[in-house]
Amino acid sequence: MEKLDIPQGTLDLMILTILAREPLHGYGISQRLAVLSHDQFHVNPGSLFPSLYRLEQDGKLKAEWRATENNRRAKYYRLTASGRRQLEQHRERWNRVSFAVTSVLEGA
Amino acid sequence: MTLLHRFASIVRWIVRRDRAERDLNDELQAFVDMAAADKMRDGVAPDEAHRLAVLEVGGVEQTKERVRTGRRGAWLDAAARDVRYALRMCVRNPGFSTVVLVTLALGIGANTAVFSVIDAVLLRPMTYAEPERLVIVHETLAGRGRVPVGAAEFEEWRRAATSFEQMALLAVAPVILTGSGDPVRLEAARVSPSLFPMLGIDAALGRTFTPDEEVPGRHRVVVLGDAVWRTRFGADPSIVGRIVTLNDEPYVVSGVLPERFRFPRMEQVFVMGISGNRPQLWMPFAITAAERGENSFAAIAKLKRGISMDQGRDEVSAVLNRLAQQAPNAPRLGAEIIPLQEQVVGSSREVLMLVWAAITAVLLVACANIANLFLVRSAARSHELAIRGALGASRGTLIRHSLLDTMTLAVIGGLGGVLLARWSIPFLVRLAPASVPRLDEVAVDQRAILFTTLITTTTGLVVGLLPARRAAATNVIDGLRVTARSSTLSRHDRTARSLMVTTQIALTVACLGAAGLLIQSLLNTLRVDAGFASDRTLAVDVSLSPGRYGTLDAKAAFVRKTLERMEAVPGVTSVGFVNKPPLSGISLNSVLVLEGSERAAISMVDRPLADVRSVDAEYFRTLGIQLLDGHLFDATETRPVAVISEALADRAWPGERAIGKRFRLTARPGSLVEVIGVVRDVRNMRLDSGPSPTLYLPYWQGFINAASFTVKTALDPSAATAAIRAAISDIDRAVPIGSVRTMQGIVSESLATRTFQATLLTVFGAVALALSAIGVFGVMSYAVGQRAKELGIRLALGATPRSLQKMMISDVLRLVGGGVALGIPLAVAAGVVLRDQLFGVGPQDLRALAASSAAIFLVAMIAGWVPALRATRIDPVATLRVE
Repeated sequence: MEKLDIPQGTLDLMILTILAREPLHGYGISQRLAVLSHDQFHVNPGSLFPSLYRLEQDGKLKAEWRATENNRRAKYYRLTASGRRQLEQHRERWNRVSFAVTSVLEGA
Repeated sequence: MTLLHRFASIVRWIVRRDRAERDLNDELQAFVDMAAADKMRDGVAPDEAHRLAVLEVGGVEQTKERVRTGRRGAWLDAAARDVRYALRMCVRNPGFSTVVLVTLALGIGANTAVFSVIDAVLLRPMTYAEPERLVIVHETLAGRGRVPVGAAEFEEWRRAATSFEQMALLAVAPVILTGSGDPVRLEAARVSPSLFPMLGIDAALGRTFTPDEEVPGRHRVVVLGDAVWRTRFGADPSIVGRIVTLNDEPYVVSGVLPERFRFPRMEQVFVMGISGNRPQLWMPFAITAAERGENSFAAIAKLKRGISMDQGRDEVSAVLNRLAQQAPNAPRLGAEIIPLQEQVVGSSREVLMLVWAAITAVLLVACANIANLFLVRSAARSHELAIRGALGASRGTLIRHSLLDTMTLAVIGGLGGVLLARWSIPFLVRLAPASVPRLDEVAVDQRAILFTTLITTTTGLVVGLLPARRAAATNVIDGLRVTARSSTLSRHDRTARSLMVTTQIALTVACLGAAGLLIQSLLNTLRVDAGFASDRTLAVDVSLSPGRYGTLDAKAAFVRKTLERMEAVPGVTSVGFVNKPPLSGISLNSVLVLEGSERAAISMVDRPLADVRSVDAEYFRTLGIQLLDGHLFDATETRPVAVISEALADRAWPGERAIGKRFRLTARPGSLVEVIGVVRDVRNMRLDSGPSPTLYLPYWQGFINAASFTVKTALDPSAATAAIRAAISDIDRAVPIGSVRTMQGIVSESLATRTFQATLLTVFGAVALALSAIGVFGVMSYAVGQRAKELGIRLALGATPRSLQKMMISDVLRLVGGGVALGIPLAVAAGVVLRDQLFGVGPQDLRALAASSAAIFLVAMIAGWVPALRATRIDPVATLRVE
C-alpha cells in the first residue's frame, strides 16, 4: 500500500499525543509514529523538526539534551502544562471534525 | 503566554545563534546516527547503514533550512539581511545614493522644521492649567465688531455671571523703571489677582497677588517676570520684599514668576490696535473710579466644568442687556467668547498653513523624482531579481526585499532630515515675522520626531510602491534571458513615470502661481503711497514717566526743549514731534461730535472716528506730509485748532470744504475745535489697511500719551543717532529712550509678513521647478536610450534626424503641456484659498499665473530638449549592431 500523506495540521496533534506518554527525542517520535499508525504514517525530519521547533517556540514543548539508553547525546522533548492544554483542545476539535465528517458520509 | 514564549525564543535565537545552529546540527546528526544504528541492528553493514540512513533522512541542509525558515521570527533574519544588502548597494552606488539621500533629507527635514513651527504655534495647547477652559470675553459693537472691554461691565460680569470659575481684567500699563541701572521702559500689565491662579501659575519666588491687592491704595505690589529678574536685578534671591521705583512710585516686589511661564504678547490678546509686547512685569489691577467709565481693557475667564462657551456667552450678553436698560443712550453692546488659544494664534494660522502646503508640495515633487530613480534602478536589477526567483524566493520575499531596499534609504534620509530640521529651526524662527506668536516654544521634540517617522515611512512606501510591484511581477524565465540584461520598463511603468512628471509640473505651477500672487501683493503694497517720505528720517521713541511729567505743561516743556536741542545737532535738517509715528499699527481713536450735531440722535457708532495725533508744526515738513488746503498751526497758537487728513474731511463733511468747520472731541468735551488745515492721508496702521482718518492737534494743547521725535537728516541718519540720544539725555537723563529706528526700517518691518510669505513661497517654487526639470530630463533621457534601436531603424529607413527630433519633442510637449494644463486650475484654487492674504490682486489674476506658467514651460521644455537632441546624433549602424 502506498504511504499516506499526513493530513495538514494533524502532525502537531500526533506529536503532542506521543509526547504525552513520555518524553522522546526526534528519532524516537518518528519511530513511535510509524509503529502506532501501523506503518501508515512516515514522517521525515524535513517535516518533523520544523514542527518540533515551532511547538517549542510556542512554549508547548520543552527540550533538553540527555543521554539515551545507548549513551548517545540526544535532544529530548517533553510536554509542558501549556502543551497538555493544547493537546486537549486539539483532540477535542479533531473528535468533533471527524464525527461531523463521518456523520455526513454515513447520512448522505 | 504563547506570545511571550515566542518573543523570548526569538530573542534567544538571535542572541545565541551559533549555539543554536550547532545544536540543530547535532540533533540531526544524532537522528542519522540512531537511524543507522537501527539498521545495523537489523544486520546491515555500518557503511551501508549510514548511507541508507542519510538517504532516508533526506537533505540535511534542506531540513536545517526548513527549520530556520519555519520558526517564528524567521522573517526578522531575512529582513536584517535585506537591510544589510541595501546598505551595501548604497555604498556601491555613491552617485545614486547621494542624490536620493540628499533629496530625502532636504524634503523630510524641511517638512519637519515647518511642522515643529506649526505644532508649537498652532497645535500644542498652551502651558496653563486646563487650557481648554480658558476663554477671552469680547464686547462687540454693531458696525465696529470687537471692541475693548469696559471696566464697569467686567465688574458686573464678575459679580453676576455664574458660568465662570474666575474672571480677570487686563490692561496694558508700560512702566518706567528707575533706580536700578539706566532708566528703562518696560512692558507691564495690570491684571486682576485671579489671573495667575486661573492659569495655574504659582510664583517661583515669593507669591503672586492676594485678592485685597485689587483695592486702590493697596495695589503697589509688583510681580517680576523671570527674564527681567535676571537681566535687571541680577537674579537676586532676596528680591522679595525689595522696593522698586516704577513710574516714580514705590512698589514692593512680592514675587518672581517661574522661568517656563509664557504669556502672549498683549496685542494678541487685545483688540482694536492696542499694542503691547509680552508683559515683563505684573501689577494688580486696582480699578480707579475714572477707569470705571473706560473701555480699553481685555477680559480672560475660566469656564466652569461642563459649561459650554455658548452658555457663557449668553450669560455675559444678558448682563450687558441689563446694564443697557439702565443707560438707554449708551450704544448696545454684544458679547463674544472665544478660546484663549484661538485668540492668540488664530491670525497666524493662514500664513503657517500656506507655508506648510507649499513645503508638502515640494516634498511630493521630490518623492516623484526619487520614485522615478528607484523605478529605473529596479528595471536594471530585474535580472538579479529573476535569479533570486529561480533560487526559490517567493513573490512575498521579492516584494519584501524591494520594499526594504527603498525603506532603508528612506530611513537614512529621514534621520538626515531630523538633523537638518534641528539645525535649521533657529534660522526659521529668526526669519518668521515677529507677529507669529509662541515662536520661542519651537523645538524638534517628540511630536516632531513622531511626525518625521510618519512621513518617512509614508515616503518610503510611496517611493517603493512601483518598484515593489515590478518585483512582484518578476517573470523568472524572461528575466534570466541574456538579452534581458538591459531590461526595459513595462508600459505600465512608463505611464506611471510620465504621470509622475506631469504631476510634478502641475504642483510646481501651483506653487509658483501662488508665489506670483504673493509677490504681486507685496509689490502692490510697496507701491502704496504711505503719505509720508521715509528716506533719511529717524523716529526716536521716549517714555515720559507720569511721576515727573504728570502735567501737560511739564510734558510740553520737555518736548519744546528737546526739539530745540535736536535742531542744533549737526546734520539734522528738520525735527518734528508726534505721539505715535505712522505705520505703528496703533490707532488712538476718539469720536468727533460735529458742531450742530450734539443733540442729534446719532449713536456713538455712527459718529466720525478719528485717529488722534498730537504734533508740532514742523512734523509735517519733517515727514513730507503735503498740505492740501488751509494752513498749519504755528508754535504760539493758543486757540483750540486742528489739522485733519483728507479721509477725515471726507467722512465728517462730505462734499464741503472742511476749513472753518468746528467739532468737539468726546475726550475733551469742553471746547469747540476749529479745522484750519487739511493734509494728505497717512497710513497709520499698515500699508495695506487703507488711509486712516487722522486728527492732528498741537501738542501743547494735550494728548501727549506717548512721545516720538521724527528727525530728518541731510546724510546717513544712523550717523546722527548718538548725537540725538545725547540731546535727549542732556535735557533729562532719567528719560528712557526706546528704540531709534529709521522710517525706512519701520516701513520694511510693516511688510515683514508679506515679505516672508512671498520669499518662502518663491524659494519653494524654485526648488520645485528645479526638481521638476530634473524629472523631465530623467524621463526623456531614459526614453531616448530605450528607443535607441527603434530610432536607429527609423534613421536607416530614411527618416531625417530633424523628423526624429520633432517626434521626441512632441513627446516632451505632451508631458509638459499636460502638466501645465493640470497645474493652472490648481494654481487658481490655491489663489482662492489665499484670498485673504492678497492685496490688489485677485485669485483669477492671470498675469502672475501666465508669467509663472511660461517660465515653467520654458524650463521644462529645455530640460526635455537636451536629451531629445541626442536622438539626432544616433548612429543607426551602431544601434542596429547591438543585439
